[in-house]
Amino acid sequence: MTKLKRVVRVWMLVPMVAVVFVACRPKVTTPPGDTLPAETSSPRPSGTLTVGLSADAESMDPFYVNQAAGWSVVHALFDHLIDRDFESNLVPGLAESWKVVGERTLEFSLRQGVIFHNGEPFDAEAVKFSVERMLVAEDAPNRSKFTSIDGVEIVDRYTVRLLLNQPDGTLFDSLTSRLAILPPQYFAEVGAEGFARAPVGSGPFQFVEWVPDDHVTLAANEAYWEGSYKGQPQVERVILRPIPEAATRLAELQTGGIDIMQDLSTDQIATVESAGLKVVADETYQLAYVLFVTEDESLPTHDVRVRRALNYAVDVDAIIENLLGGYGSRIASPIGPGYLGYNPDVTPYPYDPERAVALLAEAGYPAGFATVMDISTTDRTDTAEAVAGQLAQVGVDVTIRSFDIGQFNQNWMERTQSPFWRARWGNTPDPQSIGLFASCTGWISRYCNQEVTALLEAAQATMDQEERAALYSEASQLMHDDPLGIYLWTSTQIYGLGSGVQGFRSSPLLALIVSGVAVSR
Amino acid sequence: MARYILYRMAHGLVVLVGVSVVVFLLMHLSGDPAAVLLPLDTPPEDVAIFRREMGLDRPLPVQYAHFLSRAVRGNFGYSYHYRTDALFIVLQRLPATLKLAGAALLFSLFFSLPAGFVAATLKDTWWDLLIRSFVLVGQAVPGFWLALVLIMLLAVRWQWFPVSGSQGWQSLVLPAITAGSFSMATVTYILRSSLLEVMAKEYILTAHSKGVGPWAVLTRHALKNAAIPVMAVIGVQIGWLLGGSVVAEVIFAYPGMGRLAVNSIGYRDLPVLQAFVAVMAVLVVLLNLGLDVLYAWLDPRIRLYG
Repeated sequence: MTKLKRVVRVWMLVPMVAVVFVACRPKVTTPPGDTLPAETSSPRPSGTLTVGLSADAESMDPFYVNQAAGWSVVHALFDHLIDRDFESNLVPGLAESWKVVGERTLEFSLRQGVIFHNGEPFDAEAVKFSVERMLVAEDAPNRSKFTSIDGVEIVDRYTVRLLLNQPDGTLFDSLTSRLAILPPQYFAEVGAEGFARAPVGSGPFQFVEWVPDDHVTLAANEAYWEGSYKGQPQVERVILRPIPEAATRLAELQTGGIDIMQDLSTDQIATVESAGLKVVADETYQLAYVLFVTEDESLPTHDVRVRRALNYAVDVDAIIENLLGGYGSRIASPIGPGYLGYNPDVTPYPYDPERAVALLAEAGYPAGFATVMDISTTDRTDTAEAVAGQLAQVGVDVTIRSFDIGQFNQNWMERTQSPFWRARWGNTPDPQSIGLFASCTGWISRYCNQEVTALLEAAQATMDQEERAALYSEASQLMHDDPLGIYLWTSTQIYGLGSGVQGFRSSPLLALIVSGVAVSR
Repeated sequence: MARYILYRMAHGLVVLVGVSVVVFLLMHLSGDPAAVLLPLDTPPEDVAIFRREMGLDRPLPVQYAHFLSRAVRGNFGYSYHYRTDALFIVLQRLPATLKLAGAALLFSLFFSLPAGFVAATLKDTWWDLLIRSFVLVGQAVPGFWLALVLIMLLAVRWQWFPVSGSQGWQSLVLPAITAGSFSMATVTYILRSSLLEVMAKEYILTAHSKGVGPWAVLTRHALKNAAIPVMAVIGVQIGWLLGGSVVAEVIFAYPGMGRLAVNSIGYRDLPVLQAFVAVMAVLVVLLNLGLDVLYAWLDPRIRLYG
């Protein structure tokens, strides 16, 4: 057996030698392209910016993008007629200016001298083509946002009109992110599939390659037009890597594998800061609620006193402080801070469990009641449990049911959800979409207040933004007094930044804007 | 032998058809893809248009017949999520998955075959004890925990390997260890017990008594017979590695088929899932066919009576 023992010793040695070999090699560096020294003062873009996203883009065709990861790519490759800047103001994009002509016509003066990445010039034809493609793209997730458009009229090469079938005050908002402008000639040459494989836009970066679930590589567009809020590209290359696991993204940030980490969780902040890296946190327009089924007369939540009591019963500030690390602001209605028509005079319900108990008794529930709350697995369970725990203090016994996001949404769409459900809604400061769950006519609404409905519908059909703001402001007070749910907080988007990252600004619109970001090592 | 192979092939075909029915039905029980793919604010009439476009409004048997007739021609339709050919998306991930499964198998066999051999031949020595403890740990440690420990030590602290991704062979090491550790433990255990069983057989005793050296008895007489159950287990492990390295693929952000499948379940992307299961089923059936031939070569009784 001595021969065998010798063999065993040799075999045990092999991995040891391998480990020593690997350990003696130079440290593993990030993907190629990082060797150029970055000089941020130089006008020419240099270096590589690597970003760790939490998910992959679903398509390189902007018409089929409906999630934050995809929007980050869309805003890098493409431009829109109108943009929302980092402060959420409507600012010129490919349209230098726009005006409302009559009730049902929007006229845009287009920017001159803009060229697509393939050299094709941008003009009214490109706008006409892009809008018309959207109108017939029946499987495009955002088509329903543009159904008020009847047609496009070219006035001259740089003036274009959208002809509407009804006044639509929400169209400006939809044009900022849901209708990228595409090059018509190139699209005609390559077709829809070819376009999705090799997209061409007019944005600050151009497409290099996409390996799904691995990376998207973009290269600086040095001919990018001046004056975009996105800024000029500062790096030669951008690599966007989908890394679904948060712990892995953090490890990549710590080792310099990525420069920007999306979706840092509050419990990871301490690790990032202790490593000398930066944390950027900004509130978004996504609001968190526990919504109620209110139209069913057999349910306690049909009674407005019960709904108010439930708002008094939850110490939202304590949850924000203890579970969300202080990130997030309380909301008092579905028209959150920064929204068009935000009304600062409408203040959140104070935490007052005694009043809650009194109101419940008045409504005929002195001993409280038992109910069920649905949550989606993409939501945090601990905050839902905290809400349920506080409701238990006033006698409301909540059982939590968890669903994957698909089933959760399906229940909502088919109106089969439980009496309570934990919802998140909103990604732009335009409250246009809240009518869907907060009005008598919304198809996923379980709440009906005629006055609110009238105000929201009037705001939808008004082109004048100031008038819309006044209407939303009024609706906000009504929805506070006749609550459709427990109003919780604004969601916060948190990023971790490597030490070499300069010029990063977070956009409240969930997309990550990579132009304007420089990196030095 | 040829008859035996033909018989096994027919068997594989039946398996494939069965898999297709089960998969098709299961997917349709799990819910409506429109709920995941369209934004919540889509009007009901647009949802109806979308369902018609995607063929989701037709009766199930019609959808299945349509699915099968296209599937045999390699057409699984368009991915709901990626809006491109479903089979293309799956095949795009196949090389990465094969690479990872290969690396994991290599890692697993490199340790398990010698370890099982040593544990059996040096039974009840401290080598055996050490190997058996190691095997127990390998089977007990959950993949996600092992993956995070590997990242923390080998990628963050010592920086020997990249944290994640698929750049070069270095990035294969940690996912391969994660994916291969369980199968390493299993194969070690099976080889050890199988060898011990064979070593207790009478023909081994005969070999010993006619004066054959211990090394020769092992390599010439025992190993080939002990190999059959081990081959069976390795076959199962390869199938498992191909489809089951999901944990490793997700944690290490590795662009393989397992991660694609998990994402597709989340998006209810039926065409991609069907293409994935079909590709997996074909791979596993082919693998088993290969193994069956190998058994038959190892053990003549199988080709005569199998």
